[in-house]
Amino acid sequence: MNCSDARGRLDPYLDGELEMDENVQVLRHLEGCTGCSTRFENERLLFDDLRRLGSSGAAPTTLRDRISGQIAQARTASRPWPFARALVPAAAAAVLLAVFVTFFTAQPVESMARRAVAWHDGAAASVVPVSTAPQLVNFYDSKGIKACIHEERVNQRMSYAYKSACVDKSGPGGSDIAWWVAACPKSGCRMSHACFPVPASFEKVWPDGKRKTFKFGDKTVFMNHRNGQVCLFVFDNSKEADRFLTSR
Amino acid sequence: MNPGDRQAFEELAYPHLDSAYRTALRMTGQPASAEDLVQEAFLRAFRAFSQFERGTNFKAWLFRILTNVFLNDYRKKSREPQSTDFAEVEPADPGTETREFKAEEVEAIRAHLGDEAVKALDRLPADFRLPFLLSTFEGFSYKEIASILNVPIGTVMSRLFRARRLLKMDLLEYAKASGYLKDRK
Repeated sequence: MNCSDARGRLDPYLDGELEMDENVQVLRHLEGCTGCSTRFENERLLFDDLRRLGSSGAAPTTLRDRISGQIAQARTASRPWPFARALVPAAAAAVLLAVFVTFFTAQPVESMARRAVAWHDGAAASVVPVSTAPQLVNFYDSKGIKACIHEERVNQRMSYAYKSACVDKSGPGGSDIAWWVAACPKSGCRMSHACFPVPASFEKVWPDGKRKTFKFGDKTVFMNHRNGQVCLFVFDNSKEADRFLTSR
Repeated sequence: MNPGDRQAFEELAYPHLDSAYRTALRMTGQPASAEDLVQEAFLRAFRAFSQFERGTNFKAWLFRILTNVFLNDYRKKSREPQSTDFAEVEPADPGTETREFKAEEVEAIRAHLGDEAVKALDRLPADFRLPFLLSTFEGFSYKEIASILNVPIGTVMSRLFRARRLLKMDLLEYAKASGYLKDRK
């Protein structure tokens, strides 16, 4: 990917809308190109500023009351259902069915969390820190995981050092998924992190905007479903997991 | 509608009241119109609540109604041209746009953000302003914006790109006029 290819993808990159492989290519280009990485960073800062401008300000307090009043009127204006009584058994059956469906279809989420732990225990364990720079922990990939992005950055807020995002086929339905491995230099824990489009099997059982946390032994899996994306984080240190969760 | 529906609706809808109002304010440019617009959108959403598919993105559904009310009712009343087919005037490939902004220009713009940025945003044609509001301020994905505005994703992308470009050009003019950046042409 050259500069013009990368810059043509600036907006979707900043919006997090690039396909995984394109995102990887842009990251690779930015790593080796100071001009583009400065430009991307500048634009990101500008749109962060704009976002802040547009994300403050509350509705007038009276507006909610006005809406509530209107909704109440809308309700009384509509006629009550004449067959409501007859529908009670049907409704009860529907609730039972919903509980049943929820119980069984909730499994994909947990099984994804278990797969994430398996990945973390396997591949991530082979990515070991070999040296500590002032800000970055350098990782060495002892098992030669292929298709790793060689990007180093520090997540300022959490002080994690990232090294590898390894694309493999462990995503839903065998799809490509990029895993990031991070180290928390202080406690020596590791965190694996991946995001992917929400699988159809999740949508009914897991509303957008909700988070889920699973604990398997000493591993904590935190899953966030937002804007059609699922992001998951595996921690092998419960203290770090708690610190991370309370910061969100 | 039974009382449970009303409660369910209010629990889902009120958390989005502030965002809906902010968006309405940037759509109409008038606080009074924004309140009316939000009120009408919430009422319509409540009436159509049985059609909302549980488990799907409620905010996107609500904003689709808000946008429709704005486009159908408010925009027609305003002086703004009703519809411009920007597909005809915008380039097919955003990459073919003219020169890029220099790093120092972007910095100058950042140094002058404030009320002027909001004014510049209000000056954008609605076709560009709406995708920008939904993306940058409300965090909707391209796919959701396409669904809210009922246009293809490619159109969302090119309008968003143009919106940001127009906004930057406008803000750069302001920064230049303020004397913080010498015109380098």
